[in-house]
Amino acid sequence: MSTTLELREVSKSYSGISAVDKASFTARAGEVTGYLGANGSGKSTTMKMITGLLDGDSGEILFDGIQLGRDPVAWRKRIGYVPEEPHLYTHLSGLEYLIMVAQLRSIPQQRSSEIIDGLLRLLGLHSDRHVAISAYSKGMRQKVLLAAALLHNPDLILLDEPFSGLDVGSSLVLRSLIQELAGRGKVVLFSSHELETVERICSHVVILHRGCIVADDSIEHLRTLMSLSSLEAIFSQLTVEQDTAAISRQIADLIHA
Amino acid sequence: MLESSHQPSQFRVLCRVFWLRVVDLEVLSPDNDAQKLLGHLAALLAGVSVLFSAPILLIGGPMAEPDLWTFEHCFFATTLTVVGVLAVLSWDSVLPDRRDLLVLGPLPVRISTVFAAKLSALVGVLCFSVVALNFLTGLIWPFLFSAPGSGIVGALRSIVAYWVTSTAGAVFIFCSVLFLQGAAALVLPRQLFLRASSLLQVMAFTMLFAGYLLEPSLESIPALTNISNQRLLDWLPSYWFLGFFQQLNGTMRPAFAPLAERAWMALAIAFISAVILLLLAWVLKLRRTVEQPDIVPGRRESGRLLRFGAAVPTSVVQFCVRSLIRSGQHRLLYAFYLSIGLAIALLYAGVPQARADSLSSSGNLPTPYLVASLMILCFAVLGLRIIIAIPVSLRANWIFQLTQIDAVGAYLNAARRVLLVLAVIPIWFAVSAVMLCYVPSWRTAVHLIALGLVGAILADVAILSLRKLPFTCSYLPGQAKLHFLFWGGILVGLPVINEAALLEHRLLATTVGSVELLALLSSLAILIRWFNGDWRQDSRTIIFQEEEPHDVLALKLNS
Repeated sequence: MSTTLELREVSKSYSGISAVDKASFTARAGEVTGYLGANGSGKSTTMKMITGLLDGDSGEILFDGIQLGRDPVAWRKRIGYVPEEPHLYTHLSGLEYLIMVAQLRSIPQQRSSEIIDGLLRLLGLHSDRHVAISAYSKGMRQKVLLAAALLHNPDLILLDEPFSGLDVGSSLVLRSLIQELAGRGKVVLFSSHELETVERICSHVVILHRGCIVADDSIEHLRTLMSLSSLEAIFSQLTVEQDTAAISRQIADLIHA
Repeated sequence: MLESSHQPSQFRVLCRVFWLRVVDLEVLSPDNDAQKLLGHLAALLAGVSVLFSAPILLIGGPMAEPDLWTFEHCFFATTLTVVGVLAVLSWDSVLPDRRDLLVLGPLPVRISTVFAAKLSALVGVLCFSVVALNFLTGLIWPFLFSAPGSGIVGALRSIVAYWVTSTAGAVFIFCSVLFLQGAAALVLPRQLFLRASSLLQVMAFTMLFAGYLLEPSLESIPALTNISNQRLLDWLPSYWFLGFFQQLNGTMRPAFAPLAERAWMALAIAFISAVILLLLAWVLKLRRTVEQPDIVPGRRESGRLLRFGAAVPTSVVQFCVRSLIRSGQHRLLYAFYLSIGLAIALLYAGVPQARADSLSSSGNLPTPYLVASLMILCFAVLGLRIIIAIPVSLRANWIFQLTQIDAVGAYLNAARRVLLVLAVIPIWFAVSAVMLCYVPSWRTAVHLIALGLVGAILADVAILSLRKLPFTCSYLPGQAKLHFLFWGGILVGLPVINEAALLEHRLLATTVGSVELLALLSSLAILIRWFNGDWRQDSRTIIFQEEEPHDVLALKLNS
């Protein structure tokens, strides 16, 4: 049986307002699962519940058949997570941060030095490794997060808006990297607003709308099913409730007035 | 045209922002509530004013002149100290700030407006603290301070003189601190200035607290005119402003004349030099401030820093060391607590008995020295315990939560090591160096071993109820109890330390006693280490996100 991440009727509400409502889907090893939804649809909440940073109200989250919460330490060891917002200790340098994460994950020093050095070089951060993160651009911070998430060779990789702030070159590298990691048997759950990128690298998408899953299928099958040519069109049909042209016209009118 | 028409409102908006930020809110108010902080500050200062007004309500009638001078001197010395502490707490707040320049830079706001707003905010805080501190004393006491037989006119003059003197004293001390900052900012490169600021702040706090506590009582004509006291009076600003008040009040005796003259001169020099240095700092340092962030990491290989055991403790301790070194807020607060300890330690170590005993040939350590060394150690541990409960970046704490793969005991032991590394060990070395220089004897060596053991015990006591990682703690407003912990610790701790030092002094008198002392402390250290051991800690969990108590949550007020 291949490695899978499985969510069964997972729900979470904040102060009585439902953020995720009975979400169920499966992400498999070897494929990249795209997790899509508008702002506030519950994507990041789901990601945080999978990492264990947030407790769900109900439902089950299983990885490799083992329920989250049964052995949190073993769970954390297998997870690599890039959060939506690049919240880092900005008083540390990029190198110091990565060393700290490696130590917290108890990676042997020699091994961690090699990996950190390699990741910093490959991600183009080596020359800035001693600079405080407070001076890093958003893209650089994103790279630090990515490096921190991959240091321990995790089995489950959760990427919440990983392309945010990255330049074109870095985005292309990340795009290939995600596919490469999936190809090496990792379970990759990936959330993004860049539908074109999702369409290119994801074999399977889960679309969330107001906390509920409205689609869970391969892109190809969704295209056929909905008789639409692109993921953008599918996404719009399923989640966009506004007349986008009218809203843009109103904004332009407002600032001209 | 547009810009100039917006100037007054820009100024008002900025002034309000800077006013609320002069005393960095997070330094004193963990829940970041500006109004509440100012309310607390006003209540605290007003409480002092009420306390100072109690004697007049109890005594009621007229007092002898020297007694009045004692009260006058006490009020001005308190004003100077309080304003001085506020000035040090608001360190760097009047200098160009990177955050302000980055935020306001793109907006159509002139630098001069920013500067004026910052300065006005500072002046506002200055006035606020002077008024809060003297609101009752400044209205009641002047009736007693006025010249005999001068009637209501004399009383009014006395009130005016009192407030002018308090304000002048506040301006003097504030400008002196500004001068210190401005000079350091101008002379030192930006990074060095940021690093040296902590040291300067400790020095300034210590001078203020020690000056306030150690100042001799010279409020009599013989003491003021005694030639041997003149050199001392040259260095005591509170006495200068006592003379200043006497002059304005129309009650000046000739003995006060040189003091009043010195106050005028000091006020003028401090004010002019502070303004000049401040302007120069703004003009010359503006660009460098924008370009450089707060203290930046060094260029060395970070991985080669000192290790503190296994990977997890090393990681936590290194993180804490870096946080303390690079976070201005934490440095400032630690400096504050350390300097209170240092001032009290100096107070003890400076008592005549200590000097006399240290020169005696008995070979035993003077009790005040024992108290002083214990005092500074306790303050360092207590201060650091408070500091580590303030997070360095709440939102970045997720990484500790996500990477918690070791037993809880490993993390809490790391917290203990943080207390040892950042408080106990540096203080122990400093005390050892000083004591071995002044009183080199085997008893000093025994005391230093005992002090080390006390430090180890204190570090364990400090983490007894700790369930959070240093510098990553979250908190609920009003739940921190940090300041209560500190002042409660002082109230309970001072007599306990005094008694402990007396006991140690008795035990150190004999070899058997010294052995008993070390055996007792070692046993205590082992006992508390065992009590605090992994068996107990592993049953706990580390708290990353503080939650409201269950009974509050059960109300479901938000749903």
